[in-house]
Amino acid sequence: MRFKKILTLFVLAVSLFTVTSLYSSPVKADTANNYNITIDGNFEDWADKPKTDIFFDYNNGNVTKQGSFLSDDKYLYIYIDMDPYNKGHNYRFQGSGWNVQVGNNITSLTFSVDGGIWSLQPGSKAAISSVWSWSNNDPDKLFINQQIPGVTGYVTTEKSSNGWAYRDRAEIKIPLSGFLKNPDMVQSLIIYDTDNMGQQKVTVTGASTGGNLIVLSGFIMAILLVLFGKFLKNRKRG
Amino acid sequence: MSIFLLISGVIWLYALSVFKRAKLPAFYFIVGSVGLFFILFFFSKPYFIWIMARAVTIGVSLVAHPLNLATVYSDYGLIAINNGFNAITMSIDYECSGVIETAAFWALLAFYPMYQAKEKVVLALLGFLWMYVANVIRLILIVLIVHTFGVDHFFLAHSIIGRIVFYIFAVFFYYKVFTYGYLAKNKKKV
Repeated sequence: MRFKKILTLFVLAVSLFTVTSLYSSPVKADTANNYNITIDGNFEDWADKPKTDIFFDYNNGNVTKQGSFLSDDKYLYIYIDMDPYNKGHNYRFQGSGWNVQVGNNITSLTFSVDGGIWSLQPGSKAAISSVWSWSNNDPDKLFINQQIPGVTGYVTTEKSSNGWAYRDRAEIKIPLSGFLKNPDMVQSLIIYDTDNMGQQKVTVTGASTGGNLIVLSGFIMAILLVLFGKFLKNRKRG
Repeated sequence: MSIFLLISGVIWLYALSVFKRAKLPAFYFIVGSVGLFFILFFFSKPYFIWIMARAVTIGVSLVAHPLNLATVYSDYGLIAINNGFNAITMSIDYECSGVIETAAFWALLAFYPMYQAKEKVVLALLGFLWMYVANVIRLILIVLIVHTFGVDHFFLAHSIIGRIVFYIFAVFFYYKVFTYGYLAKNKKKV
């Protein structure tokens, strides 16, 4: 009787799941991009994402940049605004000096702008033509040294309020497998450019509960009890 | 749904029916609960995880926002902690949402022979709430430590303190429901 109930529940669950799978879901979770980010040179999709001010102390708040770094299980998403507070400092997009740190291992990312950043005129956008990953500090052999395939990115520029300075913004999507040998094994990435952008380091990480150990404990506890109960029952019979 | 999952489900059901007919309750329980755990886990992938990740981040925001400890982006399951200089963005995915532990508890409970159906429903709801609250407490603890002592303390907060706290909460509940529940019902036999 109980088995029939379980069978009915299973059939119901399978049917429900099959029916819901037939419809396109508004839920974006667990897809390649669950942040609703489109790499197209429009930055509205970054408005509701966490951002960090990036600066050097010696600039006294006059040359502050802003960055947002997100990662899902496939890609690293980068957003850079070179003048978010409209100070007109004319500090342009920096393609070199970007570091990604995993444990004690560091790789450098270099972005090339199609045509060069200085040829980019206000109101226009240029594609990121290539991204290189190169590591000279990789004791655990985590990184791949190569021009990363499958990168998409754009840099745009506009005039600041002072009428002459440029305000560059960029968004870039980089496959994790393009610079990491085993992206699935990496829990945290620390991203910074302390040569050109600022002293801040941004950590992008998950926060796993360590569920395997808990699940194992639960199963062992319950299974031992059922076996113990069976043993007691047999002993009573015997 | 993948054909692999469907075939596995059918094999699982057949194995269950064999153990049931052969009157092997221990095997019935083990195969039943392990199989159901994997089924729940795979079925939860897009929907339940999405809901849990949002629910957990909303729970964290109830404490983190008023105390200005972190900014929570519940639409994306993101928690951004800034302690004034360096920043950290935690993303709540299936490993952090408590789905795995909840699925394991439900799977064990469904085949656990000690409880009646009504008791199981109540315990399943209670277990869900318990895991949720434990996970929110774990994340608030991480946020509090990182906000107070800095990003350098994330490893200590997350991998050691947070996990120990959550482990204690989860295993205590498993103990209460399975071990203690069994002992209480079988005092005389034991």
